[in-house]
Order: sequence, then structure tokens, then C-alpha cells
Amino acid sequence: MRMLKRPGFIASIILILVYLAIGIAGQEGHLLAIVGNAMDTMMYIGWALALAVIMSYAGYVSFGHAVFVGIGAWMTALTIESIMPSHPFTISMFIVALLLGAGVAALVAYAVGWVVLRLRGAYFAIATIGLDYVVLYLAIYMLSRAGISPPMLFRNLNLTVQDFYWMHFIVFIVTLFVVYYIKVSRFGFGLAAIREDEEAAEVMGVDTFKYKLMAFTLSALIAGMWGVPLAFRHAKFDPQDVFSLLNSVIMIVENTVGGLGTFLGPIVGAYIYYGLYWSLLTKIAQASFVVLGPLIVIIIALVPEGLVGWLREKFPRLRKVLE
Amino acid sequence: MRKGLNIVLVLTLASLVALAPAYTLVSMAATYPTTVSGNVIKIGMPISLSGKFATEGHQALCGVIATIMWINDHGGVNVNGKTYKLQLIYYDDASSANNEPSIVQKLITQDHVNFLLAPYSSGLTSAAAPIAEQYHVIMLSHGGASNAIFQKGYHYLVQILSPASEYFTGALEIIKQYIPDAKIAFIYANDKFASSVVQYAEQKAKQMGLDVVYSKAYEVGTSDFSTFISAAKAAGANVLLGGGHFADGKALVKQAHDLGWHLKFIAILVAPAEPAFYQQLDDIANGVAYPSQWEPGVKYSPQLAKQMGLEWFGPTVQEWISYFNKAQSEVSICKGIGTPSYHAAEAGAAVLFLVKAIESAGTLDNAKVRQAMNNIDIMTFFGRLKIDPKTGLQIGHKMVVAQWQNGKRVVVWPPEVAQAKPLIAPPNWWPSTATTSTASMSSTSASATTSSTTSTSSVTSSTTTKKTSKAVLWGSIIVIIIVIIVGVWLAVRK
Repeated sequence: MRMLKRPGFIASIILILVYLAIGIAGQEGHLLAIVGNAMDTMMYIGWALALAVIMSYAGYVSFGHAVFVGIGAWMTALTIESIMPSHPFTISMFIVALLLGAGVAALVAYAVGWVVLRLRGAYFAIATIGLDYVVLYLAIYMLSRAGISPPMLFRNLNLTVQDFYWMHFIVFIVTLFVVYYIKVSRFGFGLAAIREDEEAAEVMGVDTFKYKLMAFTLSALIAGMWGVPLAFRHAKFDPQDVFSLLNSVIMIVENTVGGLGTFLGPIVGAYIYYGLYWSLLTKIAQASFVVLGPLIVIIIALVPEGLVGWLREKFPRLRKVLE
Repeated sequence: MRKGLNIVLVLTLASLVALAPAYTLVSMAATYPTTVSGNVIKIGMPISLSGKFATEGHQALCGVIATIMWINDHGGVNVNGKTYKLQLIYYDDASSANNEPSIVQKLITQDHVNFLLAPYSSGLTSAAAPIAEQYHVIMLSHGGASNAIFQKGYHYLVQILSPASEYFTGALEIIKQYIPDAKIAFIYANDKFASSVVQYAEQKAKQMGLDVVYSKAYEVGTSDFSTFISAAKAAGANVLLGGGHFADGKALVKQAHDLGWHLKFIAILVAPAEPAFYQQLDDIANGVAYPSQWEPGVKYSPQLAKQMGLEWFGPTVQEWISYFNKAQSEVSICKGIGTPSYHAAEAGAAVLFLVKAIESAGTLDNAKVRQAMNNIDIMTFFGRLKIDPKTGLQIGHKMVVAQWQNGKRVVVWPPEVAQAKPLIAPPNWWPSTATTSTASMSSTSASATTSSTTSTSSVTSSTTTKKTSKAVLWGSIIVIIIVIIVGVWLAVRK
């Protein structure tokens, strides 16, 4: 019962209610802009929280996290075009894709993590970059073998914007609760111990390797789920697009800007990133990264602890609200 | 000390938060015409103005602007007795498929456009089309030739240009007729468009009994083609077909020549259609042919339409070209583009097809306009336009083969609209030591419209450089400001 009164839990409930309200109101068709943006922000929050499990909670930066989103998209492509070809869209198709996407992403993460999580700090980060490229070219090769030149386009499933919205919403709820539960559980405290001082944690009896492997697998599982609504919505699987290193960097930026070690940090970071991306996108196109990059450098230089971390430090009273 | 830092910090964060809404409120979308009085039909268009498709993107954008200019000058659009003017809202997609869904979403949900024009290229069109479909907004594909996109069951996606399956048909017919000992090599980009073109071309070559000795795709972004060229040379190929888009097609031709590959016939996708191709390759470009959707010298006219029993719609070829030139002198983004290439014409034709459909539907309702498109069969400056009702594929329009001859683009195929005979075994590609084929080396009889090609194309490249350097300048100013801020802060902190 105590968990229900915690600020992170209450914040999650508020977020879910807000998005639920937007979803219901959006059925009218007048609020298309808000529905579209709400869908995007859910996705960016989802990405940020997925990476938060390993990066923010356990202190391991993964540059290859887009891989797991991409695997989710890949499995969706398989579901639509190979497992259930010529079926009209049904909920079961979404669920199969979700299970497959999350499952395969978690399996890959488990296998890869078993090797690379023996590395620490920067070495781990470098190993994950390698993973990104391996999977990218594997996907291109597999598509070519199947006689498809990328991107692989899905057949039109005649889904509406509202359908995509509820797909995002379902994955969003799961993400919020899983990630929050990890944070407040005994497992989460173990990860925090690893983040602060891995040797000390080991001495204190935390099975650090097992904990890290679990965290990496769980974070991949969530990222894999997010690949599914993305692929449905874009109606294609484009390896160059989903396995882009840029997507991993976006996740890292969201976490860093929001604040490491917190639950609300990645959510705030996602809003900041998306707000900037959306407003700069059509103004300066290619130059948007020229602006976005330095802004991020400034934030990191000024507040290495992130926005939420800084607020918690400046105003200790806020700690009750900002978790 | 800490206090000063906090002020800076709070200001930065506050400006960050303020930035998002401020940008959307203050700066306006790029539109043409900027203001419209009375009833307006808004057409949205994501288009590549920077990145690898910038050359084709600028052409397409100005083709659309020229056509809108003509329509608005000639009484606008008549919808059930009410007159509407057209307005274009366009955003630069930076040639990136990643940006496409967000931009299309923005055009539909924030700018409330009535109809959409697709971005340039098959890859970007396939990224944009699903989003338009979700919102039930018509998207006219003027640069997405790939047949694959149209086999996915999209209802609101309609094609204006001839599909990829048609691209090399003319070139293969030329080879069949003029080069009995042809050994064909296909070297092409592994993207949706080029692989689709070559897949159909290989089938057709087989049917025609032509000898294909080499066929290989290169990854998008390849700049060194020497391994492909040596392998094709080793296979004894004397005809090269392939390419992808502008940058790679140009590099492929240049390297084939530099490596001393003797060829009797070269047909490359997309790249040679741009005036910049000749300007950058000079004599190497002579003899290079390309499949073209349209050339300034084509002979479509109201008389031809009458002969074929079709309705003529929109400006004549000459009229359209003069509007294209007018756009260059009046609209800043179009300055110095040069002669229109087919990328401009097909985009302009998309607007005409849309206007015709709106007028015959008598409404702006997307479902009804889409329905009306099924029954349209018209002749325009771009040629005949008619779509397959089921898939939205273009079935009315026919392609031509054009070739660079003595620095001019001339239509060489099919014979009934040709301005000159195809140049087989051009001397710069097939030195006299090799035996030449039967075809005569015809002198050019290029039309007046293409004569200004060389002079204008130099302007194209200089504007592109100017745009790039402007972006670099602004980028570096921003970076310098940031370095100063961070530097000052680091210095003050101690």
C-alpha cells in the first residue's frame, strides 16, 4: 500500500489519465494535432524509460539500445508479412508482434549482455556500438536474401490514427509500471548500489553480474516492445532507420537531460527533447542538429545531474514530489 | 559564485522551455504564394532542399510553384461554382526518411492542408505515404516510381510519373535495334527505386533475348565503384545500364570513364537528367543516355490531344517553361535553377491532375476527389495522365529516352517523338580502335529550349554552394557563441 502513495506512482497515474483523456477526446477527430503529438511523446518517454533501467538505474551507458527497438520493428515485419500474411488486422496480430518483439529483444540482450557486461564503463559502451552495426547489416543481408531491397513495406492494414494511439497507450502503461516497479523494488536498490560503487556493492553481497544482466535484459524487453507500435505506425521496416545510432543517442540525451537515477528524469527529458525536435524540425531541417547538439552540450556542462536531479538538489523539499 | 551559475542555468532552461512554443508561433511555414485572399486550397509538400536529393528537390518544388502560378493566374480552381486559389506549404525534409512521418503529420494536423504532394524519391515517398493514408489525405507521388509502394493497398496514394517497370524499356529497345553484339552490365543502387527498375529490366531483357553478363547492386552511399566496374569489364560487358540517384549516378559514369571502360551505350537513371550532370562531367557526359519522364523538347500539344481524342488540360509546354522561368525570377528559392528537368515537370503535372480531379468532383472532400481521379484521362504538357483505379499506378503516361549529344539533351527514343537518332558507340567512350556498330552518328537538332543548358547549369551549382555556406556560417556562429558561454562559465566557476 505504501507504494501507492509514492510520488512516482502518483505521477504515473496522472500521466496515464491525461493520455487516456486525450485518446478519448481525440476520437472526435478535431484534436488530430494533439493526438499525433501525444503519440510521439509516449514513444519518446518509452524509449527513455527503457534505457533508464540500465543507464539511469545501474549506471551503464548503452549506445546500442536502438537495436532492441529495431528488433521489435523487425519482429513486427515478420508477424505481418510472414506469420500472419493476408490476415486483416486483429488485436491478436498486435499481441503476437508484441510478444515476439519483446521476447527476441530480451533474448538477444541476454546473450549479448552475458558477454559484454563483464566489461565496465566505456568498454561496455563501445561494445554496444558494435552491436548496433552488426544487427544493422545482418538485417540488410537478411532482407536481401528474401529478395527485398530495404525498406521493407507492409501491406496497408487500414488502421486509423486512433488504432495507433491505443497501441502506443497499451505499451506506455506497461512501460511506466514495469520501470517504476524496478526502481522501488529490492532489485532497484541493488542496481542503485552498482551505480554508486560497483566494488562496494559486490562486497555488500549484491550479485552484480546477475543484477546487471537482468537490468539489461529487462530494458531490452521494454525497448523491443516500443519497436512494435512504431513499425505498425510507419508501416515499414527500414534497417537504416531503426538501427540508426542517432536513436540510441536520443535515448541517452533524454536520460541525461532529465536526470540520472530518477524515475521522472527520463520523462521530463523526453518532453524537452521532443519539444525541441518538433519545433526545430520544419524550421531549419538539417541544421536542427546544429542547434540541438550544442544545447545539449550546454545542459550537460551546466547541470550534469540533469534537470530533475538539479531540482532535487536545489530544493530538498521537492524530493517528496520528484522521485 | 554558485548564484551566478544558477542564474545562467535557469535562463538557459527557461529559454529552452520557451523556445518550443515561440518557434511555432513566430516563424511561419514556407509558403507559396505567401498570402492568398479569398477561398484557398492548401497543398502540403515535404521536399528535399538539403542533403542528397537537393538537386532534384529544388527542381520539383519550382515545378510545383510554376504550375500553381499558372493556375492562379488563369482563374484558379473552380469548385462547384466557387473559385479557389492554390497555396503551397512546404518543408525541407533534409533527404531523410526519418523526418518524413513527423513532417507529414505536421502538415496534416497543424497546417490543415487539403491535399499532399509526395516528397522526392521512392524511399521518401514510402516513408510518407502510410501517414497520409492514416489521415485519409490524398498524396500524389511525383517522384516515387517504385512499383512496390503501389502494391501495398494504399487507397490515397496516386502516381503521376511512369512506374519503375517502364524506365529501361526504351533503352533496351535501342540496344536490341542498334547493338547486335550487346553484352549488358547492370550496376545499380540497392534502394527501392533502382532495384525495382533493374528487376523489371532484367526480365524484359531476357524476353527480348538480350545478353546480360553482369548484374550487381551497390549499397546506398557508395562512392567507389571500381570493384563493380572491373568485374563488369572482366565479364566483357560493352553496355552499361544502372545508377540510382544524382550523386551516385554521376560518380559511376565518371569512374567508368576514368578506368577506361569502353562502352557502346550507357543509360543511367536520374543523374543525366539534371543540367548539373553535364556541367560537372563535361565531355564525359556526351553519349550518356537516360530514361526520362519528360524533356523540354517533347511534342505534346492540344492538337495531339485532339488527334488522340483526349481533353487537353493546363498550360502548353512552351507556356509552362515560361512560367518556370518566371518562377525563377520571382521566387527566391527557385533562383538560378536553369532549364526544367523532368523532376520539375512531373511535380507540376501532379498539381494539374489534382486540380482536374477537384474540379470534376466539385468538392474538396478527399474521398470524393480520389474517386474522381479514377475517371480522369487527360493530356497535359507532361503527357497523358490516367491512373489504374485499383492501385493508383500511372498507366497513361509514356517515357522517352534522352541522350547528351554535344552538350545538349535530345530525345532519341521512341522514333516518332525523337529529335535525333541515338548515338551508339560515342567516340569518347568507344575509341576508333574498336569496331563501331551500324548506327550512324547523327548530328544534333536540339530544340531551342535546351540551348541554354550549359550556361544556366553553372548557376545551379553556385546557388547550392551559397546555400551550404550560409548554413555552415550560421552553424559556426552558433557553435562559437556556445563555446564562449561554456568557456566563460568554466572560467568564472573557479
